[in-house]
Amino acid sequence: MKKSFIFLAVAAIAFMVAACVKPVPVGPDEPDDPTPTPTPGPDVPALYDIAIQLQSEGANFAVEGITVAIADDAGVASYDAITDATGKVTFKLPAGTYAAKATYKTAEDGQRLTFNGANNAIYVSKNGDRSFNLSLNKVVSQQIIIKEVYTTGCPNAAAGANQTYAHDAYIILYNNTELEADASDIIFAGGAPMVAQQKQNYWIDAETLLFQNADWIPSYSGFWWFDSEVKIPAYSQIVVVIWSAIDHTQTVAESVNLSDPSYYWMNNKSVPAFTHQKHAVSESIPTDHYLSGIATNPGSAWIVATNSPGFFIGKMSSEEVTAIANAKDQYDTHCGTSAAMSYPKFPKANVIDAVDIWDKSKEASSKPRFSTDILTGHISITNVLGYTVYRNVDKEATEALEENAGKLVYNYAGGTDDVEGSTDPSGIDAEASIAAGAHIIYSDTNDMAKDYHVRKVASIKK
Amino acid sequence: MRKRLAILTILLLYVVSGSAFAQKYTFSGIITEKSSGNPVEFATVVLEGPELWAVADAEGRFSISGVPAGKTKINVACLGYVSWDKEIEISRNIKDFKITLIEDNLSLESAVVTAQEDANSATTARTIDKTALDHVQVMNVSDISALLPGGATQDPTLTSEKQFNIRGGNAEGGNNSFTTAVEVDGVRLSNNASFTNSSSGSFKGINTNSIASSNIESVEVITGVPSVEYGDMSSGVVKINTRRGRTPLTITMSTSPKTKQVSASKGFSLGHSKSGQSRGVLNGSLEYTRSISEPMSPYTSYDRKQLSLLWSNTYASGRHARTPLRISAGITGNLGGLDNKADPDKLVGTFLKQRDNSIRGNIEANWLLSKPWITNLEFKASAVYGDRLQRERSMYHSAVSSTNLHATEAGYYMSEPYSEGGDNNAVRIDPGIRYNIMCIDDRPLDTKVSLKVNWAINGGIYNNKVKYGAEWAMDKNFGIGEYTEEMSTAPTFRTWRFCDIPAMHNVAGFVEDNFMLHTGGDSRLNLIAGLRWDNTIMPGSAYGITSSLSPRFNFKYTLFTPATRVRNFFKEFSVRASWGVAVKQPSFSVLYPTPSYFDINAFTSTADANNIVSNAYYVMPRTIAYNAELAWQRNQQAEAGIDINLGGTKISLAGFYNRTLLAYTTETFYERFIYTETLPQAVQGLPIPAGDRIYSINPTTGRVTVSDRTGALAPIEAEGIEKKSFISAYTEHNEENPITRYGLEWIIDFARIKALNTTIRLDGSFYNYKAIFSDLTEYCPTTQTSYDKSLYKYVGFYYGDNSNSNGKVTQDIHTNLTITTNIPQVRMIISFKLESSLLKYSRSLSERLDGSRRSLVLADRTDLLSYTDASVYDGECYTVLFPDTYCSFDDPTQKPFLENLEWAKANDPELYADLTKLIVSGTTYNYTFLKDFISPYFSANFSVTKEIGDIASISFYANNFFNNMGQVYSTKTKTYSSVSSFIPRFYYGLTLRLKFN
Repeated sequence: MKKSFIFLAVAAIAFMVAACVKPVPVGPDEPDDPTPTPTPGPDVPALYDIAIQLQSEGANFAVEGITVAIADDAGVASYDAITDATGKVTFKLPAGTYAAKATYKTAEDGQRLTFNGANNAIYVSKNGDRSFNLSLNKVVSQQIIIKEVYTTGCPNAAAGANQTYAHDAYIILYNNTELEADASDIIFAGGAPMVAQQKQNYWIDAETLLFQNADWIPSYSGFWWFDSEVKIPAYSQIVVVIWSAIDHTQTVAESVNLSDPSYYWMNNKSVPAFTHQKHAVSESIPTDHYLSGIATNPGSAWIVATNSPGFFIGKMSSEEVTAIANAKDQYDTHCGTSAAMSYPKFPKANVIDAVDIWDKSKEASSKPRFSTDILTGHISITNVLGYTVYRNVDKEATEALEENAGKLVYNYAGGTDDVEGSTDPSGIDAEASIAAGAHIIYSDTNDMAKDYHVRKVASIKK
Repeated sequence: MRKRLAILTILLLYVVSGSAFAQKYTFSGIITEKSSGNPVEFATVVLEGPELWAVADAEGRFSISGVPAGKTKINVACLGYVSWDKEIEISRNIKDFKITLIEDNLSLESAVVTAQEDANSATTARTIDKTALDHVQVMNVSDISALLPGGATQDPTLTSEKQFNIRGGNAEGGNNSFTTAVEVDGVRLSNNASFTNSSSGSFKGINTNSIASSNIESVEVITGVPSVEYGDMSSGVVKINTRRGRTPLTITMSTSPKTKQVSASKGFSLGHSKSGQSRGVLNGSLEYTRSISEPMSPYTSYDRKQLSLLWSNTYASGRHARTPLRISAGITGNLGGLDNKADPDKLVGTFLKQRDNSIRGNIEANWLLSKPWITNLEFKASAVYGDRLQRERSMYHSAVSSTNLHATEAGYYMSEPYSEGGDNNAVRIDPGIRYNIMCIDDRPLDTKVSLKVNWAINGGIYNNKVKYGAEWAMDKNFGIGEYTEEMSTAPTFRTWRFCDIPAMHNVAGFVEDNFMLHTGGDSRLNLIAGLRWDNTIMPGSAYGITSSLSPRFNFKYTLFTPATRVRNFFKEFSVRASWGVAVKQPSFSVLYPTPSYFDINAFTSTADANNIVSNAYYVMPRTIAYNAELAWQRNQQAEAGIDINLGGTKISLAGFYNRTLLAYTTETFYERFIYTETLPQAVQGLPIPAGDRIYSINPTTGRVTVSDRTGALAPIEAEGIEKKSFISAYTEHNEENPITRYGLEWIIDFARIKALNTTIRLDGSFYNYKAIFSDLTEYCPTTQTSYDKSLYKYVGFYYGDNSNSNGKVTQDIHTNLTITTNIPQVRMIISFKLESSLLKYSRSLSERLDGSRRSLVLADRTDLLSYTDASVYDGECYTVLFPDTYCSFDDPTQKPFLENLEWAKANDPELYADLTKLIVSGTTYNYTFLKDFISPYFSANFSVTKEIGDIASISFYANNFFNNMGQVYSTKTKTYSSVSSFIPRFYYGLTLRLKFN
């Protein structure tokens, strides 16, 4: 018994020593691995050359520099290797069962592409396979998302009891990734109909949306676009002012200051239909921050309604979107209650993000304005209280960012859970965290109910 | 013209010859009250044939001399008594003819609460008397429309305007209510001098809210072809007669959820002079009515406070013994209007107050001359002055400075702070909150003087009455139009002084011959022919003199009447037919539309740190294009009617066919204009600090210059860009295509069920309206941009209208079943009325007068050029309307649209994209041109009136008392909707009347 114990102890020590031998893998970054290959013997297990080829969508994923991690099934040993130009790595491994995984992130056309994959069935044995595949799943997520929407106005106590003010609307676009985003080709467009509770014909019956399976969505009122190159740094935002880009707090204390030089402004002077003298721009905002637009419907309505707005952002050049606006004969005419309510068809493939906001007092008569492949759900808000629709934080992703260590602020109290029953379930106070230097990744599930909450005070209100 | 004069001369010679041989007698008697035997002073005795009359003196005596031999009908009337009439043969002097009058109350079986046909009229006319008015508790005189055949009860509030619509609907072309004449005691109430009666290109008739309802004695509604003495109307006449003569003190109190009313009236004798001459009778009435729009929020209210005095006297003694002279004079003042100041739902400090004050006076003299060449001379003069001042206090709030324009001369204007005594063409108002009261002062005056001669000849088997006369009417507005009570905070407006508009005069002459031939028994033939000549003169205006002729003819043949066929089953038979033309003068709002100004934003600066923005505008006065070709709207009316009585069941049918010609309407046209625009980009970032900038603009070129307030930096001219734009303008014109209305009205009064003291009336109307507009309509979608991003540069010319339909046809059948139980023994009358809509049909039309297609049917909903030869009326379809022609900014020549569109599709994508914006797509619905039948609906009303002795009576009504809130079905949209759109909600009211003899 005693002998047996001694033998087992020696074997275990020998195995641990063998396991701790580091330079098992041989890869392109370590072509001259100086560690000698242990000689197989009764105490040293034999090592075998294993190759793992990355694949995606059925083909080799020939991207160099991707780290592939492999670990044995006991979780004791793990190794890394970096792909060569063909997307392949090699390891020297003792016999056993291993799991390999790899992640690769890149940006393309304003979208963040994440390639994730794992192969948990890498069996290494003397006579077994020496080549394995690691299949990567491609996950597309938007770089630019709609972070906050402020359109429903605020109280205006100076004007009298129950008076309100609603010429201070804005939208915040946010780069939800660690990669710089190009917003130059972003266009803004309204969902149809203009207000969610408006009588419309797109809902054929309670279950069927006319354009659910179409390759387009109807767009209301007009399109807006940037006239200059616009870059949004990683985890940063731009504010786009919909109405007057001035300091509204000078006359309405409850409102917001929209005269910051970094802000962008939808220049109503560029659209004959939208010319309205109440719209003004502060001298402080440079002209290359002016947006241009084109009207697609009669009347002077904006793309974003004060009451129950629904709109989307898409990626398209101003020339292309102008062509869509000008193609009157291609407009869809199913929706309206009048012949004037015909809407251009915007290709779904170009839609980046959308919001569908309902008037809380008119939920019963409201209907979704987007097909479920674009957006599901909605969020309801009480008008003219200064509330905004604000994006929830993706808690897991945000906390996973190493640089956020110690910078995240919790116990978020900016929601309207006390009055509207709405708050950010992550509990992270995004604005306070950003102020503390954290990088926030916002929820992006394309489900309004999960992605947004109603915030009590506009995030830019100081 | 010569031919017409020759015919007139022959006609006059014919009737004169009859008068030469007539022998004259004296007819005198005494009028007493049946129950007491007391004389009835002021009772009026009229011999209808020779049109002779007298008024009973204090002893009830009357005397009429110069009565020609022959049959004539005597009519005796006095307020508070049942009218008495009888046909007698005059062949000698008659003395002490005894007439007894019966007091009019519910103890009589003859009491009725429905409109009654005027049996003596050769055209369709109906009268609603005091008993009926009290029974339904009329608060607004237009509510009596519900008592006409097929009439429907309306919402009873006074807080919205009400008009009369005779044989027409509200949402129709042809300005029906505007062309309906309303007279109170012979005084025409008119909107001719009003500038505020237009709405969306149509013109409204007078608002009846300000007419007191409590002292109305009767209302006569002439729906057929009226006498030529009625001018300035084309849809009918509503004659409201107020109480006159000696009456007891009557106090009335009414209440309903929306309206309260209290009134008092009394008519009393002013005694006699020392010579025994009566000083006449003065009738006074006082009414206060307050109405709210909504009982749940009883703050927006309409008040009516009215005092009316009416004096009348007859001079029939001394030198007037054989030529009595009756003079009456009246004056009525009304104070009131709409006020929502107290409404807590309104923004604090804001209000709307609309005065509806008026004063009207009239004097009328009837002189019975009884000469061979003249029977009666009638003189009338009246004046109606309105004060319709509207004051509206509004709050304005702007986060940036705003610019309010008052310039009336063409040119560029840069906004500047308000300057006391300055031009203030473009006033810049600092950011923040301000209040301002804007007013519209509308003070119309309508005056009228007329002289009419009646000449009646009794030729034995015939009576001939000739009336001819002349009248002068003047309409003028003394209001100062739109103004502000504080210029420094006023919103954009321009002075439009109504009082600077010259008066409109109308001089008219008319002649009418009314020939009655007695053809045995009580059968008779009545022929009426008349001609009216109107001349409208507006000195100092572009319109000059406009003349129009209105011939009218009536025919009636009465075979027999119930008076002579008491025992016969077939008791009455008469037929009638009429044709005529009636012309409606325009109102000032037709002739002088409010001048419009096209204010083009030529510059907007960036906002400085204080949110001050400078704006500049090019102001273009849209000088009203006075249409010298404007003709007066007219109606061609034709109707036929028949009245029969079978075993006591009276049946009255009237069919009509009316064509409205040259209806007034507003036309839009476009002009080309080039201006300079300076964008904010042109000044953003200039070296001169925003807070130190002074912006100025060249009034001619539109060039903007930025100067440094401190003088440190040199002025900079901002870069402007040239803009080409179409701008719209308006003018009044006449619709080219007539509007047609035809219909049938029926009243069946079933024989009284004596055992139940009950009468049953079934009345109703079928009405058809059709209008197709054929005028070429210009349209430019100015809010659109062209393909090259310039302002839209094309104008389309559309047949009829730039919408899918250019016309409409409607048909309605409304019927009413009224069951009235009159229990004289307890002096109570109860009525139940079931109002029903059995047919409510409408259809949108898209047609051309030559029968060719206008809107086209699409084979493919998504392809606007996939039009086919199918008819838009063939079931469900998607349609498209193309303009006939179009022109561009650079080339005003009109080009065929469709041809160029198809060419552009193949050859010029830019032109194609631009032209498609002129296409009127009908691809939203496939039912636009389907027939729309609204399912039948019903409403039931209940009314009861009870007299308590001779001192009090009480009335109660409940309209829609089943509280019908059901739904109706539309065959066009295949949807249900609430019936509340068509019938008023459940409503009730109570009235107490006290009478003190």
